[in-house]
Amino acid sequence: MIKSINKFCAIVILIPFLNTVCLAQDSIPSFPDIRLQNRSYIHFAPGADRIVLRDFATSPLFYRGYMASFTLGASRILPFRESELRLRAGAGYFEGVQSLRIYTYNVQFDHLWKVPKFSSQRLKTGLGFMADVTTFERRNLAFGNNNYGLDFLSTIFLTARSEFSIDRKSAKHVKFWFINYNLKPVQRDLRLQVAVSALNSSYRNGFNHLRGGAYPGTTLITDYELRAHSGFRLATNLAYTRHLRNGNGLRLAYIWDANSNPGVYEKLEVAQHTIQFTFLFRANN
Amino acid sequence: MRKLFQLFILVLTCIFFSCEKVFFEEDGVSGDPFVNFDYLWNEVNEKYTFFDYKDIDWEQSRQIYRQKIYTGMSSDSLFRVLAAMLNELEDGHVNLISSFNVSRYFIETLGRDNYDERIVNENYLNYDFYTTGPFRHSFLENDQIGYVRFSSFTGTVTHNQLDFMLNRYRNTEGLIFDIRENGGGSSGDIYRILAHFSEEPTLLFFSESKAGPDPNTFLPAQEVYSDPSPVFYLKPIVILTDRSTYSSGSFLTLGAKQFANVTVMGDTTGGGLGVPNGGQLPNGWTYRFSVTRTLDVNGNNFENGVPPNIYVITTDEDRAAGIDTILEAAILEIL
Repeated sequence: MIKSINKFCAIVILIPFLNTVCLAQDSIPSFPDIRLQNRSYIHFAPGADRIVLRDFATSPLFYRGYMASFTLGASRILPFRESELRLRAGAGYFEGVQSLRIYTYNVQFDHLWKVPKFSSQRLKTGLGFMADVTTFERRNLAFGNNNYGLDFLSTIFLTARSEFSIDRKSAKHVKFWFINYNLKPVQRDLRLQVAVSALNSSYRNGFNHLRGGAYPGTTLITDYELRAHSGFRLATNLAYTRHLRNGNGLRLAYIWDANSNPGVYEKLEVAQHTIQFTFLFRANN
Repeated sequence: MRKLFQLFILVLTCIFFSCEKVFFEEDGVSGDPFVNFDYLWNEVNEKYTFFDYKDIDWEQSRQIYRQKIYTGMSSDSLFRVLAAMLNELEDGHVNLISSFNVSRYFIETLGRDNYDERIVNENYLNYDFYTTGPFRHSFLENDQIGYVRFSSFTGTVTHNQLDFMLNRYRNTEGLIFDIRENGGGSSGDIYRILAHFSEEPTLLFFSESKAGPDPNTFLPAQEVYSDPSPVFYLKPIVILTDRSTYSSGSFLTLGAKQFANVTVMGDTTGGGLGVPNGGQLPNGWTYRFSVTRTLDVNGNNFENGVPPNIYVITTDEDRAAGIDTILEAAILEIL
């Protein structure tokens, strides 16, 4: 059974490469510029996160830890606009605190329109919005009745993205020390997206930050307070994408997300640095 | 153009790796004894709920104990000063927790010892009792009374356990529920137990949670009702308490007093009707203190202890003779 699962996983991971390996034997390596096509992708993206968190309701100290995350997404790219939906879940721990665990759940949707004035054949610039709902679930047994934190954060971002094509148009012969090898033509992008919060809200514990639900008739969120239109959030995404001949793609991204949620006595500050490797599966022809 | 773009991205990346420092306040970590003293004093000042009720001058405590702080003092010395300041609150829900010590206020010192487990086991139960979950129970007085000993709110109480016990004692004349020297624990047990003491939802008490740093700023009072279970006991129930009955023990006592068939007997409980929070100092030590208050249905605050309906304490003569004075009085009350 385990062997079967391993085999299946190996096939899934290798799918994007399979067509490449076959086509590598073709004598004509060029393939049509995919940027001229309407494209849809399904994304599978494992990631490794570094997380920094401080909740003033319980501590003035930063907690630093690591998370493993997985993102499932879908995107549609048209010549003049593109949109992407991402569902993300992560679990991690903090350094030096055995009893502290963190889980995060995140839904993100962005939609951008091409700005022709700042675009060219090789550069595509877009402006748009990004909507994000993030939940942090934390447990730290050292904090007694405050051992549980469940934070809901929502943000509407204004976002800008520039995508620069760094294609290799023709085959290239390279000699590195005594190693000789040929580089085939390839379509690649380097892109940077910056998102700045326009509307930031949080739904969190109140002044006491006590875990709710202690009394009959109360729930976990009985003492929760909505703080609308407050706080600040900034997110960036730097990604390198390599388009494969079969229409699929591979993407390596560094994502940074910093969130400062206000509260007179219970300010929450969270930053996540994520290295993400994305498998892009072409969903249309 | 291409090189410019790559340089632009490289610069941005370098900035963003450390950019959160621009948005976030500085890390509050500090071993400075003054910083830690002020942080703890301020947290208590803004969140503790019983300054007025206990007539505590917290500003005066600051003046007294801050004089004892000095640069370069050892962790142990700092701990002792902070612990002494916290003990001015005379509250069993107050602790300072470091890797080398835990401070506490001993509520047992509020009154005399009123419970001797060996006397009960030897002279009343004859070491012949059932153990059902956290309960120890048996018949007394020729099966006329059921006796239930509940020594700690372990969080493991279930309705099945209570159903079993109450079915076992359904033909008795009354039930003695002994929570002397029960220091509290999981609050969920309170409501599972009280669910079996009446057949209708009953208002037990009000809970108020601090809503801001002002001493009298509270969220609207939360009404707390019992949630009756299908298996209940409506004959007389005598709850035995003493000064070591604390926290969840006091909550249970306060709530149970709303039932017509319940009599509380013994000594005033130790109190502890505020729910303690948890937090951390800049040096990493943790602390807790009460940030809510509980009022009975008439608006009375019994933070210093829930008084019994019938005051009884164990006498030295009875104890020497192997007699549990309070248990004897409870038996007489039922029969």
